[in-house]
Amino acid sequence: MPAKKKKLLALPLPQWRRLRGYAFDPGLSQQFATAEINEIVFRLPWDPDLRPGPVGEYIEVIDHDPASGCFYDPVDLNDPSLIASDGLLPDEGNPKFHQQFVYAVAMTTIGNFERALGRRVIWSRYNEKEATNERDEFIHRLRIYPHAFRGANAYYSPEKRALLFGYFPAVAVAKGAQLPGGIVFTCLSHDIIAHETTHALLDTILPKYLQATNPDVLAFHEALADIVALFQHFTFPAVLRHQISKTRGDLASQSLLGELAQQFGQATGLYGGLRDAIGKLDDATGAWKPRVPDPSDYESSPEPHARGAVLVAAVFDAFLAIYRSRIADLIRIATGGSGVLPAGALPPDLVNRLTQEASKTAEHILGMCIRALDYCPPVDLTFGDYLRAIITADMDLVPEDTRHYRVAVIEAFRKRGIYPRQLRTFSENSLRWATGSELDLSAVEAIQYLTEQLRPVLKSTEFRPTRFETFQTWRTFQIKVHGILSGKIDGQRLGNLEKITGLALSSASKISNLRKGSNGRPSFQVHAVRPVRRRGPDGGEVNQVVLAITQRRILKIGGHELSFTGGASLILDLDTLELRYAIIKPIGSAERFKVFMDWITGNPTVIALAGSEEAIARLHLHT
Amino acid sequence: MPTPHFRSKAGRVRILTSRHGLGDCHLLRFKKPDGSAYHILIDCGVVDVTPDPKGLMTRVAEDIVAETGGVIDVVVATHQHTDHLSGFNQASAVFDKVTFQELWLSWMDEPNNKLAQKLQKELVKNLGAVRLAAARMHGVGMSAAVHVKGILDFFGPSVAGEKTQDIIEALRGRKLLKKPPIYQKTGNCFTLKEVPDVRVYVLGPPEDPKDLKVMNPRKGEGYEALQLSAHTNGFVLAFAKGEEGHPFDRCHRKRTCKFPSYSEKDLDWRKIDDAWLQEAERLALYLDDFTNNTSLALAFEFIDTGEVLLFPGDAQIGSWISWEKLTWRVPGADGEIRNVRIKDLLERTVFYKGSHHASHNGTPHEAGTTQVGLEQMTHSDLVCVVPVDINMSIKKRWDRTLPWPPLLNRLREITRGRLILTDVAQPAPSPAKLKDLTPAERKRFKNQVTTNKHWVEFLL
Repeated sequence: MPAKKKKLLALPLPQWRRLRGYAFDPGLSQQFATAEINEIVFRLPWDPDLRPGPVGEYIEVIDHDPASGCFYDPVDLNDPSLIASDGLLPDEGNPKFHQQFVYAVAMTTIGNFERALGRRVIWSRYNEKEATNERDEFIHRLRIYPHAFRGANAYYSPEKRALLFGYFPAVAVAKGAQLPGGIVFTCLSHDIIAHETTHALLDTILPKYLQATNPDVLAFHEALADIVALFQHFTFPAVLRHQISKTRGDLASQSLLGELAQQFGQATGLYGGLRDAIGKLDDATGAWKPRVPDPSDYESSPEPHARGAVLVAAVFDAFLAIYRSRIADLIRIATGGSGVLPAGALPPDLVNRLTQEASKTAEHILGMCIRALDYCPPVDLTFGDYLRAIITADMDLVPEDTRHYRVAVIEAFRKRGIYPRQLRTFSENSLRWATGSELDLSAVEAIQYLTEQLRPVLKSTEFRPTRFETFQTWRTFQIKVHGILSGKIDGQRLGNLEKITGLALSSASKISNLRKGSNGRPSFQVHAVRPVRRRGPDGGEVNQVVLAITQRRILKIGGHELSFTGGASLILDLDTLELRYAIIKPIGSAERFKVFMDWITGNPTVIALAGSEEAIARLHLHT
Repeated sequence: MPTPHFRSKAGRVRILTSRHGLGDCHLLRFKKPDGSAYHILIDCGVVDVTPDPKGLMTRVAEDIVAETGGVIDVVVATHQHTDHLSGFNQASAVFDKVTFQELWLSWMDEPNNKLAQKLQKELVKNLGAVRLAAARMHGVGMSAAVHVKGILDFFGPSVAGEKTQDIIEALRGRKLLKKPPIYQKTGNCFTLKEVPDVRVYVLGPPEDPKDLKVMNPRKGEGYEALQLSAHTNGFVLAFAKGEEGHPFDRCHRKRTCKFPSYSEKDLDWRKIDDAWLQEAERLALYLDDFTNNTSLALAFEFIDTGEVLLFPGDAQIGSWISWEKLTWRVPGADGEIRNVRIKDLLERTVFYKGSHHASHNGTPHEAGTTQVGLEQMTHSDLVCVVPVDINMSIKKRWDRTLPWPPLLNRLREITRGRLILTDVAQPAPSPAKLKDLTPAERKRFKNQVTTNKHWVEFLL
């Protein structure tokens, strides 16, 4: 609605657009026990320029079904009757509702990322190489194709900057509510949409994580996507209240909240949800049992989905521990100090308060998980690194951890065998990334110079420029940083910066097979300059910029060309002009190289994925 | 003197494995009580893309005739992949003069078996769709087309020539087949009438179609029987005309695109017109795995010593795990009736024909994934022979998983070096270099295995 000219008594634009949809997927609407809670109303920030599709600021839904040889006409959410009735009613047989629903869930997921990161989402350019071509441009909108193909799959395509959803007939033997032979649409599952949208969001922040350089990287993509889908369940108050009431406040027991992609799971013959974070049905007895943490969980699950599930379980354990401690006083008050709840339904007031605590805890945990992405290495992440990133990000934002969130996270990770292998102790302080205190004088000066140049980056977060302007600002600084680093090398004024950052910058570097530029020096990419500006709950402020720098060595293995990548995330403090953290994956590390070679030559999935198109689609192929 | 003749002194059994390329061909010679030979031929084929397959397989067939004198007691056709069957067609000029006393097939090839018919029909329909999809993928230049084509190669040529189904028909209908085909019942066991000291166990294919569809094991999560045939039905229907398969009522389907950005200039790279064809890859993999699981898997046991020769065809995980369900009640050497389980047979295996060219899911080899697999083959005399052709695999881009290097490594460990690849570029291990063997074992291995450029010979 382009009512740009402001008239004197014009009404303000609405703050929200309300759209109906499923809290889970259509499967639960067909079951008496869950039908009442499954249909909810999503509340999205009002997009004044929303067009039929829906095509909004961040995403465009395009409903092309090439396997059926047709298009389905776009929904116009600005139709007055749809505005007045919170959009279309949930209807599996109406493609327009499908369009509305993917839009609602994808935007909810994007909103959660923006809230946690404190900046707007800019989709990364198609081509991360320095060369410019027609694709090397601002990607305004992520595309969503709700009926892209016929198959039991859905995936994020980095090549197309799009989410592709499939549909398929359910198996003939129905164990749940799924109609045998009926069609299952992956674009009608909240969890699958949130999962795929998260793949796209993670790819914009850490584009190198689609390269399976170790067992953890792809697993991390899967795990984060599941974590986001899972914790988004907790942002639906009616569902949360219902499940808390049903489980009498014990979120560790079987509940809808801990299961992912129910209908998909039933329809593919996988009993229960597809990926079950907190427990699963026993194959033999059919009874539900929780996943008991075991320190060997991490080591003994090398397959990406299984290993990802370990991380999801660890994060969920941390959530439960914090939730339990937050509700301990409420339970004592409600039980006159005994802590033992009486039999029967919980009083509604107590359910409401428990719901608030669960919702708050989930929001905090999800925020910690997303914020940590700014503190991750640009390549080759391990789960141990991710733990360090969570702790570091949280210590910067909330120096005093009165509720012991960080201890809960560390403990939950350690119980599943996730910890940085190179560390000897696991206190908060030892897990925090090393600071830049070992820089020599020249290096300190180099950093100071660089940081000073970067101060204006933060301006891009101060007002509300368009996303294109923000993109241009970041892009300009990417080029600028590259220029400064190259320039400094000429002047030999780096000091021990190469050692601290693990980067090979000067032509004196002795590392073999390094990719080099025309000037004979090792080439490197600055593939992100990200502002990190946040305010913590006790008024602390973070004013930082993350530089993500990577470089490659080219290897030939059995006729195939492979890249070994190294790099660093440099976190610069714009207040003090210091290098706050150098999170590094040295390109010259012999140890990293050995791990990489063992991994790349010893895994069917990786080998099948190496150098192939649509790696994520193929990873799902092995679901 | 034709190539196979190595030594005149025969053991209780001699196994000749052909080294002609990527494909299986094994000739077993047992000794009848009167000292004469009893020949079993297990498969005879090579992948479709081999240069001059006709000449190659004719040479193999001639060797077989020279060895058997033109009479083969049993011919086993394990499953319908060209790399196991093509030779019967390509070398028909030679085979047509050979007498087959018996033909063994699996229940999957039984003409009146309702389930087999249903599964076959499904397979043919699915293969048709994959072939059409592969042609379109090739037409629009999708790189995955090469991979799909590579998988289809196992099913025989798509344009001209015989399909595997036709080869089976020809075998069944041949004039010089002395008895009607025998469809071996899974779970059965019997002694060879003419070689009474040898007992045959029929391990697979699984009788439960669910097991046929198990492809990938996952540790700690049990097995996922992905009912892909149902899921891919929609994809397959896209190649047929009609209402079936459409997700929405006709009124919703439009020819014109009302999404202006879809046809925006310079944004073709974001279109999805052909992306849906990619499903063909998943379907092709599935059909390939499925067919491998239909292999007639056999174990031959010497009743007195308990030694076992294991010929699983191309059985993959789904077949292996189904073997756990089988129990045989048979008399031992002492005449006492005992229960025999797959575990017992694996423990006593002294010759293992590596399943499915040592692919990553052909032999369960990761501890903890299954109860049956390589780890259970604990006999100190174990020798393993694997039909592979590494150059062909590289050419066809199967080399990343077939053969699967970690499996070869484990096979080498478990046999303590007594692993022989049929690839002529991979010399058999020299006994003197097998340091993990005792001197007596080295000597035994030296007497057991001989190779030339056409055959591997194993004697027991």
